[in-house]
This record gives sequence, C-alpha cells and structure tokens, in this order.
Amino acid sequence: MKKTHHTILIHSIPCVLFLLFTVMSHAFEKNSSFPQYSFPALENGKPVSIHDYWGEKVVLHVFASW
Amino acid sequence: MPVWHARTEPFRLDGKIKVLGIIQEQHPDRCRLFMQWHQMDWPILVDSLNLLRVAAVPYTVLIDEKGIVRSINPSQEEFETFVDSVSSPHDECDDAINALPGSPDLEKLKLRASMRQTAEAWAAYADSLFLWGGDLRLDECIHAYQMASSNAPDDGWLHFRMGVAHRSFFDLKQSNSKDFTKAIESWQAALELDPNQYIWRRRIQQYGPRLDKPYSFYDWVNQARKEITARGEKPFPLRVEPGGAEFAYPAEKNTDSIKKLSEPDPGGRVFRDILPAIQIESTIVSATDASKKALRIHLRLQPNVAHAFHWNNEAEPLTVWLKSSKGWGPERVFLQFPNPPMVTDQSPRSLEFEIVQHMGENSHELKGYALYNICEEINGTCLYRRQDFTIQLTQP
Repeated sequence: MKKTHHTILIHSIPCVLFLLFTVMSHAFEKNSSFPQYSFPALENGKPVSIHDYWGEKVVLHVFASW
Repeated sequence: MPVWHARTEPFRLDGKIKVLGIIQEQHPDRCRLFMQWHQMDWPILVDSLNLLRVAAVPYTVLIDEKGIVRSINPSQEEFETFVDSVSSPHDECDDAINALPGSPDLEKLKLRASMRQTAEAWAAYADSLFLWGGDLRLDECIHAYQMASSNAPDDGWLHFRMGVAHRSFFDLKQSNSKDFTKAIESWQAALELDPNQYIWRRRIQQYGPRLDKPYSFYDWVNQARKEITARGEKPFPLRVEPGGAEFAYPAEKNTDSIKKLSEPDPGGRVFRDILPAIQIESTIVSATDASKKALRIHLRLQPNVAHAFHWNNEAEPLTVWLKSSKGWGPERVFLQFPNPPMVTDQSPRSLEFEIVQHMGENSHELKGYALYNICEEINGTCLYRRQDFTIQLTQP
C-alpha cells in the first residue's frame, strides 16, 4: 500500500485558493502538516478542512465502505 | 472501521478526540448508509477525486492540535500515547492558518485557467468545479479535465478524475451510456499509466467481471437495510442503487455455465423495432488483470422519450437473448428484467452479464437481440418488438 505524489493547496489570503500540483512522495506524512484541503461534508456539502479542527486531537479514517 | 470506532468511541464521548472520516468512493452517499448501519455518527468528508492521492484504503491518521500528522495506521499503544499527549502552546501563527477560507472562487480559477492554459491551471479549475460547482457544472468540469489532459496526457490523475466526473455525469443524466463508457476508458487509461494505484483499479473492478473482483463491493447494502429496518429506523436512500456488478462476488476461475433455455424467437418472426422505440447501448468493462480473460457487459435500454414511448409493464418482461460468439462463452444467454410495479414507465433498464474467453481464435463481436413490450404515447398503441444488436468486443 504505497502512496505517490502530493497535491498542495496554497491559500493566498485574503482571496483565492489555487491548487498547485507537484510531485512529492506522499499526500500526508508523519510529522508534517496535514494537507489543507477543503472537502464537501457528506451531510450538507459545506466545505470542511481538517484544519477546522484546530486545537483538537483528530483521529482521521480514510476509507471506503466496500 | 467498526473496530476502530469501538476503540475510539469512549475517548470521543469524553471529548478527548474528534473522529472524522474521508470517504474515497464514487458514490459517497453509500457511506451514509454504511455509517447508519454501524451506528457511527462522526462527520464524513467526501474525496471522490482522491485529492489526498492515496493509492489504497483504509488509513487511520492521528493528527494533533496543530494539524501535524503524528501517526499513520497507529498501533493501540501509539493511539493511547497520542490521546494522553500534552499539546504545545498556542501561538498567533496558529490563528492565521486556522482562518483560511474554505472553498475557492470558481470564476477566478476559470479566468486563471483561460489565461495560463496549463495542465495545472485547468486541473485546479476542474477539481474545484467537481467539488463546489454542483451537478449543473459537471459538463464544464469534464471540459476542464479534457483541457488539462491535453496539456499533460501522461498524468494518470487527470484521467482518473475525468473518469469520476464522467461517471457522475452518467449518474446524473441517466440518458445514455456514453459517459459511463468514457468513465471506464478514462480509468483504464489512468491505470495503464500507473498500475499501482489501487483506488483507480477498484473503480474499474467495481463495474468489471467477477474474475477480476477482489470482493463484492456492495453486498453489505441489503444486509444493512434489513438490520436498520429491524431497529425501527428508516435506511438512508441511495442516490444511485448499486448494479449487478457491484453486488457480484468474485469468481475463482472461468465459468461457462450456460443455462439450457429455449431461444425465445429462433425463427426471427417477431417484428423488428425499426424506429427504434428503444435505444440499446453497451459499456464493456474488461478485467484490470489481462490474464483474466473476462468481460462484463452493461446493457442499457432506454425508451425513445422523444416519441413518448414507454414500457408496458403489464406484459412479458424485457428479455435479452445472446447468441454464441466464436471463442467467447457467455455466462448466460437469457436475461430478463422483471417488470416494476407501475403499469408503465420510461426509466432505463439495465442488464449485466459476463463473457469469458476460450483458447484459440476469438470473434470481435457478440450478437444478440432484445424482446420487449413498448407503448407509443399515453394510451397509444402497444407493441411487442424485437431489436437485434451487435456489441464490439474488446480483447481483455
């Protein structure tokens, strides 16, 4: 189970987000900041980022129901 | 996942941790049913495009109070250490990162892609359109992926994501199979570029032949609904019901168990559907492993709504007969689609079957015909018609 490449989301405050694609070894790595993507919440489609949970310890499961 | 849920739930209820999921599925709403079934109620985020670029699932990731990944697929001991750890002091930089906006400005990304004309710019626009543009902009999203891919044809991620968008468009429109076929072609192109991406491989296998399946993808759905109903709850509805391939179990070897059934119209005496009243389309999904000589074929039969044709559900059900094809053994030669309860309807009918390849020379075609009862307009003439079809086979 190997991961390749990495997508970085760069936020230019105060306005637009740009997705820049670079070649890196992993999407997330130990002792590195988790990528700051926003994903739609399944419940209501609103954007949620792991960094919305700043200040909390998070257990994140990346999975599929199959 | 239920095991991890049981392990972490006491700490979550104590407020010591937050639990989140990121789902890597084409149809993320199926996860809602899965969560309901297992009585897990933590938030789920949707990553059908695989922005996280994980090659496989599942992963469990421990992330500390500052967004730093502390462990990936931790042991029980690592998890307990993580829960008990003391966080470092808060500083002003934390607040700056925490204040980042949530979703991008699509029009600015569009302008940027138009001006730069690079794969990266078009891909950023396409990804954002898929995530935040809504169903009505899926065609724009596909176009943006096409633009990106034309600039970077060897980028497998673009092919994969274009496939996700095509399949979503297919599920949305339910009008023809072209987008489903394009989804399969896109995923196959992606996998050819990088055969180690199991998320990509699974997306094909979800619709592919049983010989190529690692497991049944959605056999849990019916069980989940039964158990949820037995609890007195109403199961969450699915936006797109799983099809036969998604329920199917793997086959360990080529099977060739043709049922000895009588051909329904051996002399070809049923009148042909000339117009036609029914449009027949096919999508072929081959095994991701070329040594497994099998194809799964998805047939889709759609009434010609322009002429207000509709199925007559009070007569014999839709029947498909497959003729033998040199070098190919159909799993079945006789397929039927049970009539739904309503008297008439115009919804498409989907039938699936598999064929396996024998040794020696193989035909590149599979012929068959469909027999159906169809009515023209409301209270119009009802007809029993036959339509012959030929499917061009792709050699696995």
